[in-house]
Amino acid sequence: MTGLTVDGLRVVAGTSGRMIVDDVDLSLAPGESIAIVGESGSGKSMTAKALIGLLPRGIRAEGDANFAEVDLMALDENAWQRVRGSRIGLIMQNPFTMLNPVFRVHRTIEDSLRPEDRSRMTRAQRRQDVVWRLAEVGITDASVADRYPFQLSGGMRQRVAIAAALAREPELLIADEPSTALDVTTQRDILALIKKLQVARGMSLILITHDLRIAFSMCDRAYVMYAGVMVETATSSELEHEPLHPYTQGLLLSEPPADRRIAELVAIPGSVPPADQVATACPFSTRCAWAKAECLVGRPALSEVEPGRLSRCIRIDEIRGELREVRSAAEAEAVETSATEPATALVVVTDAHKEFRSGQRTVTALGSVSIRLGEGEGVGLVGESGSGKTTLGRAIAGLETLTGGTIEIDGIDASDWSKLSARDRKKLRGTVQMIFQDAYSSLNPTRSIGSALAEAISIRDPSARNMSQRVGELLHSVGLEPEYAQRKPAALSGGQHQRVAIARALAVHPKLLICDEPVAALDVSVQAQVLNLFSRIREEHGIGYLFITHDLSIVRQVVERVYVMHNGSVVEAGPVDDVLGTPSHPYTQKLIASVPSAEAGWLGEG
Amino acid sequence: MAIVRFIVRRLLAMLVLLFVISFLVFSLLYLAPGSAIDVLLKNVPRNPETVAALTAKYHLDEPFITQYWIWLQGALRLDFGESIQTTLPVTGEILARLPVTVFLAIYAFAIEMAIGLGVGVLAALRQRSVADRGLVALTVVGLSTPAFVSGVFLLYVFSVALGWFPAFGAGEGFLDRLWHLTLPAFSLAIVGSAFVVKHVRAAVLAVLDQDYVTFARARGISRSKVLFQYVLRNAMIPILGVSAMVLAFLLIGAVFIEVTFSINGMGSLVVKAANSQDLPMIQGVAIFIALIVMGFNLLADLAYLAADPRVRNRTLA
Repeated sequence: MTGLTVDGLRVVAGTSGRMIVDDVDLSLAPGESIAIVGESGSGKSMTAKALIGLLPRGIRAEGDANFAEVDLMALDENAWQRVRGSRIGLIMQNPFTMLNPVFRVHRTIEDSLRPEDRSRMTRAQRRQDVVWRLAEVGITDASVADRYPFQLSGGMRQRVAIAAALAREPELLIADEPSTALDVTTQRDILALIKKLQVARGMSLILITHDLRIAFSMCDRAYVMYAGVMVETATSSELEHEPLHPYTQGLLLSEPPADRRIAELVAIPGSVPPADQVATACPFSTRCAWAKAECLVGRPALSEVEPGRLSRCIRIDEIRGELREVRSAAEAEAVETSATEPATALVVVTDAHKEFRSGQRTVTALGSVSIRLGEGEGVGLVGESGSGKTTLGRAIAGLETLTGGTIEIDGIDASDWSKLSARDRKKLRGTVQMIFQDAYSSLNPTRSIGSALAEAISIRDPSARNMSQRVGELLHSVGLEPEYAQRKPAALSGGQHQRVAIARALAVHPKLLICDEPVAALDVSVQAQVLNLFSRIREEHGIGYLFITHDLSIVRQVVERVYVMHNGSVVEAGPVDDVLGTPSHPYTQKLIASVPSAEAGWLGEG
Repeated sequence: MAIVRFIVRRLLAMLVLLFVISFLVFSLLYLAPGSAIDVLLKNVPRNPETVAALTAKYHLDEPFITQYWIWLQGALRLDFGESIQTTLPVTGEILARLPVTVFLAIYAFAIEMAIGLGVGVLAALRQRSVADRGLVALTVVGLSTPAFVSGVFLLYVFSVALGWFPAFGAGEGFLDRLWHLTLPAFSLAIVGSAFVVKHVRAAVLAVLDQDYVTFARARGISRSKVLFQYVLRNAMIPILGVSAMVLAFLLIGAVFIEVTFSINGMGSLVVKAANSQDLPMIQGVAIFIALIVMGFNLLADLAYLAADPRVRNRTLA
C-alpha cells in the first residue's frame, strides 16, 4: 500500500472533546496532487496539521491515517521526527514568521538536511549544496545564503522556506495556504514553483487553500470542507464544470470574476458556524437556500452521486437542475459600466509627494501622484504592498501629511489637516470617512456597538433624539438586526464588524468613503455579502468611494474608474473596463495575469 | 565601524548621565539637615579653628557652583576626599570592599539566572500542568520572603545545623570566596528569581507559539535542537533585556545581605556611612554604584545586539 489513505479522521479539543474536524476520508496516490478547500473554520488546516503530527497542544486526532505503510496515528514524538521532513514536508502560510529570525539562510537550510548527510559533508560541500538548493527554488543569487530573513522580501522568504522544507526530499508535501500572505504577482510565482517542484520530484501534494480557482489550477482533485467535514470531492475539472453541493457552488459564485462586472454577486448569507454546533445536521443547512426539514435530521453521509464524485447533500438529485440554473444565470450576467471623468470634482490631489524617514534612510512612498474623484463616483486605487496606495488614501483622510503637493476636498485646501480651522476640519471629517481592513481593531472592544454608533451620530447631530431608533435604522441600513446595538464587538463575526464600521462611517452622512482593503480579511462567502452591501449603499446614499485594494476582481465589481499604482506612482488610469480589458502598461498586464484562474495555463508562461 | 560608533555614542550618553548624577550627589551636602559645616563636623569638636579648617578644605566660602566644580575635578580623578569617620581616602576604602560585593552580586546573578532559566523553561514547556503551577507558586514564596529572612533560615540550616558552609566572612582566594559567599548569594538570588522565572516563562511561551518553531519541527529537526537553537536562542533576546536590571537590583540587595552574613563589603561601608552621615563616603559609593550599573547596562545592550540581527541592523544602520 503506497500513498496516503485517511479514513474517518477526527480532530477534537482535548479536555472538552469539542469536535473540530470529523469524518474526513482522503486518498492520495504517489505523485498525485489534491487540494483541501475551505473557508476559515472549515478545519482544513487542522486536518493538515493532524497529518504531520503538529496539532496545537491540547488538540488530538483520532481515526485511521496511513502513509506508505506507516500508521500516522500510532506515532510518538520520536517516531514523528523520522517522518516529518523526510517523508512528509510542510510549508506554512506566513513566510514572515516561518524562518528563525536569528539564523542566516544557509543555516536554516543546513539545519534542515538529514543529520547523517550534513555530517558527511565538508563545509565547502554544504555551502555548495545550499547554493544548489537555493537555485532549485529560483534564487540564483548565492549571496542570499548569507542574509537574514528580515533582509529578504516575502516571496524570497517563501522560496527559502520551500528549499528548507524539501531538504530531506519528502515524498509528500503539504502546502498550507502557501501564497495567501504574499502580493498577487508573487503569489503566482510561488504557486508555479511549488507545482514545478512537485512534478519534477514526483512528490505528492496536498494544497490547503480557500481559493477554488487556485485549487483547480494546481491539483488533480479537490476536497471541499465546511464546518469540519468534507462536503464534496471530485476531480478539479468536474468540480469546476459542475459543483454538486450547494456550498461548493456558493463558494464558486462568491468569487468575483475579474474579466467582467456582474450586477450582484451571489453571496451565501450568514457566516461559517463552529463545527460542533452543526454536528447533528447537514453543516450547511443554516445557510442553504435549499435546506428542508430532512436536512436537519442527522449529518448526511458523503455518498456517491456519480462515479468518483461524492457529495454530502442528500437533496442533490432533486436540486441539481436548480443549481445549474442559478449558476448559468450568475455567469451570464455582465453589466456595462460607463465612466467619464466627472465635471465637478470632490477631491483633487495634485503632485502628492510623501517621504518617510526610518533611521538614516528616506523611503519615498509617493512620487508625484495626481488623482481626481468626482462626487458620488466609485474610484479604485489598485496596487501591491509598497505601491503607496494606502499612504495616498490616508493622506486624503487626513491621517498622513504630505511632504509635497496639494489635496483639495470640497473646495477646501486639505493638504495639511493640522493647519485647518476647527470648522473646516469638522466639515471635512463629515465629508470623508475611512473604512479599515481590520474592522475589529477599529472598534473599541469595551463599548457596545450601539454606543459606538450613537457617538458617531451625535458628532453630526449633537442634539439628536430617539437615539436608539436612529441606531436601529443605521444597523438596518447595513443589514444588521437592531439587537446588535447591545453587543460588544467581540461577540460579532468579521463580516459583521465590517458592517458596523460601515454603519459608523455612514452616521455622519459622508460624501466619500475611503475603503482600505475592506474585504481582504474576510472569507470569500462573506466578502461577497459586504461587496454587495457597498454597491447597495452607494445606490441608496449616492456616496463616492475610493476603494484601495490589491484585488482586481473586486475593483471590477465596485468602481467605474481605476488608478493603477506601482512604486509610488500612477502607472495607468482610466475607466475600469478599459484598464482591465485592454491594459496598456506592462505592470497592469502583469497584475491581470496574476489574478488566480482555474484555467490550466494560468501557472504556465506569462 | 558602526559598532564602535554605537559604543562611543553610548559612552557619551553615560557621561552626560553621570554628570547629572554627580550634581545630585554633590547637592546631598546641602540637602542634609543642618548646615554643611554641621554635617562635616561630625567627630571633631566645634571651634573656630576647626570650622575655618573645614571651610578652607571644602571651599565652603566659595559659591555653590564653584564648590561643585572643585569637587567634580576631584571626582573625575576618582578622588572623593577623605571619609569623615576614618579619615582614610574614600576611594581606597571603596576599592578595598568593592570586589567582595561585585563578586557576591555576580554570583547571585548566576544563581538567579540559572534558577530563572531552569524553572522558567520547565514551567513553559509544561504549561498549565501541575509542575508549572507548583514551580511558579514556589517562586512566589521566594518573592515574598525578604533576603534577610531567607538568609537567616539558610544560615541556620546549612551553617549552624549542618555545618556545610561558613556563617560569616568573605574568604580568601577564589574557591574559598565561592564557598563563603554561597549562602549569601543564594538568599540574595531567591528573592529575584520569581521575577526572572516569570519573564523566562513568558518569553519561552511566546516563542513556542511562533511559526518558526512549528516549521522547524515540521522539517524533522531534533527536539533538543529545536529547544536550544530555535526556542531558547530567541527567548534569550527579551531575557537579556531584563538581565541588566536584575544585576543592578542584586548589587543593591547585596548591601543588605552582607550585614546578615557579616561580610565586610560595600554593604557594611554604606550602612556605617549612612549611620554617621559620612557624606564624602556616601557620595563616593553612589558614584561607584552608578558607574557599575551603567557599565552592566552597556554590556547588556551589547549582548542584545549580538543576539538579535534585526536589532543590530536597526541600531547600527
